[in-house]
Parts: sequence; structure tokens; C-alpha cells
Amino acid sequence: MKWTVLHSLVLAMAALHAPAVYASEDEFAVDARFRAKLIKTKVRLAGLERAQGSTDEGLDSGRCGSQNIGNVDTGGNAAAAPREVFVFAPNAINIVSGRGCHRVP
Amino acid sequence: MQAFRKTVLAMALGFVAAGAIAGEIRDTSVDVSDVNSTARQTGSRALQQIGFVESEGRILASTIRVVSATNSASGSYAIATQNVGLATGSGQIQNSMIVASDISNKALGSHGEALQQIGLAADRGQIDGSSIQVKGASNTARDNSTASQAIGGASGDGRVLASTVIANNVTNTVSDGDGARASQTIGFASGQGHLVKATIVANGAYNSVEGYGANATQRIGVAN
Repeated sequence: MKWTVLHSLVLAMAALHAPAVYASEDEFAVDARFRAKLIKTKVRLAGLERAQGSTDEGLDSGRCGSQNIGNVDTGGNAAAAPREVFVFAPNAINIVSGRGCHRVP
Repeated sequence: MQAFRKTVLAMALGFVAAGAIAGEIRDTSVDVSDVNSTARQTGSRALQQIGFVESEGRILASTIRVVSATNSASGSYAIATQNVGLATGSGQIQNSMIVASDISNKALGSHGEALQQIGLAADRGQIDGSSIQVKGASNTARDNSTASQAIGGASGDGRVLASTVIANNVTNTVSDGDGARASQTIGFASGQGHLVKATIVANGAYNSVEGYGANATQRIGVAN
């Protein structure tokens, strides 16, 4: 008798929750669209952060070094500009490897 | 015994270089091969200078040819400096040819410094109508060290005029050094230097460094 009552209660509770479960599927569909937007935003932000990081930590930063080939920076002084200069540097390699490009602890 | 002879020869060349201070090398051919300079102690310094003029010294219509020259300093805080065809203090290299092949400069210790300069006019020096040809030059430092290699350039208001700089397969390396610095400059004019009618060819220039806070700077055909 006790078991029958218990089973009835469980079935009643399940029946009561069934509409809620059905409703949550709709909500889940809405959530999926919202989540997709959220993920897109997150990906975009992460990309921006990576771009910012590459500016700060990349090989072109002064801290890690740089590779300049055929560059001219006269600091506004035209007289210092190179004239009739030919520069040819194939296979030039500049490497900061391993644990490079990090701050010394 | 052979090594001793080479060391003596290198020392003699050093004296020749010293004798060139404020002097002149004119219509001369300097041919050097298989020379070694070595210093082994903490804080030791190895200095090898071939075709070096300073204090308004001049190398005129001459050829300086160096093959297989090695300069090394080992031990902590060691400094290895190798200068080939260097004019400083308003020195001049005019209508001359500097040829260096298979030369190496090494600072083999922690906190060391390896400086290799080939065909360089510094401190208002001038290279005019000359050819600088370098092949297989290497500059190496280890552990928290600095390696600087300068080939065919003018610094400190120096001038490179109507000249050719050819550097093939030159390497500048700092291996496994935290805070290490590797600087390689080829065909450059810095510090208000002038680079005029110059041809700079650098094939296979290699500059590398490894370690925390390491910095590798490579400049080829740069004026600033």
C-alpha cells in the first residue's frame, strides 16, 4: 500500500514537471541563440585581446628585438637620408627562441 | 708549437695594428690566415685587430684579406673583441678592399661580451670607394651575454660612400642566456651616419638568441 502511494506521488510530480520541461526546451532554443551571440562576442573580444597581446609581446616589440631591412629613419633630417642605396638580403633570419620574449623574473 | 707560432703571429699583427694608430696603410696588401687569439680567465679579454686605424689613421688603396681568424675569451665576464678593417676617430678607409672569410669571435662564459666589427667607420670615420666582403663570419656568446656583430657600416657621424658591402652566411648567436642580447647590423649608417651610393648584399644573415628576456635585433641596410 505504502509503495503504491509513493509511486503515485512520484508519477504525479513527474506529470506536474512535464510542462515545465517542455517549456524549458523553448527556453533552451532561445538560450542557444543568445549563447551563440555571447560566444561570438567572446571570440571577438579574445581576438582583440590577442591582437593587443601581439602588439605588446611580439617580435617587433623593442623588448624582444626587431628585424629591420632597408629601413630609413632620419628623424626628420633630410641630409642623413641614404641616397642611391641598394639593399638585398635574402634568407635573413632573426630568432628569439625558447623562453625568449618574456620578462626576466 | 704550431699553435704557439700562430699566437706569436697574431700578437705581431696586433703590434702592426697598434703601429697603425695615427698612421697610414697605403698601397699595401695585408694577408692574414689561420691566426688565433685566446684568453682564458675570469674577466679576461681577447682583442684581435687586423687592419685597424684610429685617430685620423688611413687605409688607402690597400687590400686586407683575413682567412680563418679566431678570437676567443673564456671565463665569466670575458670580453672578446675582433676588429677587421676598422677606422675610428675620424679614420678613413678609401679605395680599399677588405675581405674576411671564416672568421670567428667567441665569448665563452657567463655575462660575457662578444664584439665583432668588420669594415666599419666609426666616430666620424669614413669608408669611401671601398669593398667589404665577408663570408662565414660568426660571433658567439653564451649565458647572460651580449653578442654584437657589425659589418660594413658607419656610426657616430660616420660615412659609407660609393662602397659595396657583401656579407654571406654571417651569424651572430647568443645561446641559452637569460637577458641575453644579440645585435647584428650589416650595411648601416647610424648616429647621423651617411649611407650614399652603397650596395649592401646580405645573404643568409642569421641572428639568434635564446633565454628569458632575450633580445635579438637585426638591421640590414638601415639608416637612422
